[in-house]
Amino acid sequence: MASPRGNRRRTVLILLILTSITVITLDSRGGDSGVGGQIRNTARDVFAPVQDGVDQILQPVGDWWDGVTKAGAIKAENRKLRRQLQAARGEVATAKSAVRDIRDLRTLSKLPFATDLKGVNAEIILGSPGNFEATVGLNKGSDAGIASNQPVVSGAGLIGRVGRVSGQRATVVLLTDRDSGVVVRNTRTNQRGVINGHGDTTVLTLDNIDGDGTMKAGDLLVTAGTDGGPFPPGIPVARVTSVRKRPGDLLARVTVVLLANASNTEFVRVLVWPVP
Amino acid sequence: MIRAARLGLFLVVLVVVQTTVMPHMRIFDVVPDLGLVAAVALAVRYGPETGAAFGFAAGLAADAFLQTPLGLSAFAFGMTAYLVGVAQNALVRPAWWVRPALAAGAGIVAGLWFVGVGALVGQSQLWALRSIRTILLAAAYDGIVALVLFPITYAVARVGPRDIAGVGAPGYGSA
Repeated sequence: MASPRGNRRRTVLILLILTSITVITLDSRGGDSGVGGQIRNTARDVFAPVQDGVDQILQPVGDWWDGVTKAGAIKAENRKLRRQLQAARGEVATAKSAVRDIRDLRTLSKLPFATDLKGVNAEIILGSPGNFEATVGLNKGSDAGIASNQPVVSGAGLIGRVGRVSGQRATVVLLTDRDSGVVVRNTRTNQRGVINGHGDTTVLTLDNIDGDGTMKAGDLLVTAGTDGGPFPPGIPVARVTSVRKRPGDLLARVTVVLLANASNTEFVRVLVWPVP
Repeated sequence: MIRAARLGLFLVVLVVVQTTVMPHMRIFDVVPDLGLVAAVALAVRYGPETGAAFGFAAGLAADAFLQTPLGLSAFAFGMTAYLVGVAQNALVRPAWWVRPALAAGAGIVAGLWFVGVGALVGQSQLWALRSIRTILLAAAYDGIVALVLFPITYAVARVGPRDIAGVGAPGYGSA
């Protein structure tokens, strides 16, 4: 005969399994508008002020931790960045001039399309609290006009897309996330391919390459902007770093590095896309 | 303050720390699951029911900040704490390394639950070889954190004179 304690344990186990399955099912089927989504959004908004306060207090601690764990890499990166800064200053001056020229030309020719999309500027305030996703948290949410699946960019290029959104918070699913993928176009050869996230690294591979042509290291990849796609066309995404094709291989292995890196980005712009 | 209220407040603190402090404390790009470690601590001392209940609540709170379906971490944490609570009866004389080893083992089990059940409910991106590396590294981090979090959890969950009796059968170390 089973003891009362054994019965209680079995009851707890059955309750645990049934409740979990119910919650998972409700959330999977209901999405953000369901009961699960409402619970999640409420929890995120309730914790938002506390997270803001604690994050501001602990920012120096986080910086110190980064300094301890990444001192060598930071020194090397610092040297590299100084060199790049000199080059970038020249490029910025050229680019500013080019932007002015492009605006003038666009105004003059009255092109039927506009590349300037409306958007919402937001600050990255949180990293991912979990181990199986590459995300960052923004300090703005649906109250500021941010919606799920909108593209998110930094000055360097595409960062990712908006995931879950509550009133005061939005989560950005980064391009490095395993659930991310973006169709890109080589600006030199017009070949298309797909960049899929693999986790924590910004060095990825370009898959499903189509079209004629040969990619080269240094080629710029921008969003292809497929019909009804999640990203507008022409946003810089990555640069080809190497192209390897061994004898007998049908396709070359193309390695790319993402241009925008959320770990050294503070402000991003959430683009209104598709244009309403 | 009664024990249930203390544990509730403790859970809120863990959620705040997990979402604000831990992202800054990544090592090899993983963070420990504080809610899981605390649930394991409770399961070891107070049995599978207490551990499972706290694990479920901690997991549900963690799910609110993740992209994966609500309830996935709740199931993984609750089930793992339950199993640890059942298994702890076999531990007679705990050595110093038992706590971190238990937390690390629980981290592996919870990670496998998370990935396995996640893949079943449509999170196919979790079903990757890379997840094994993530699970192992996070489990090791859980083990390190357990050295600090187990005593804190026990201090919070201690049964005081004002608490209602009958919180579950005590396990080792409570005598």
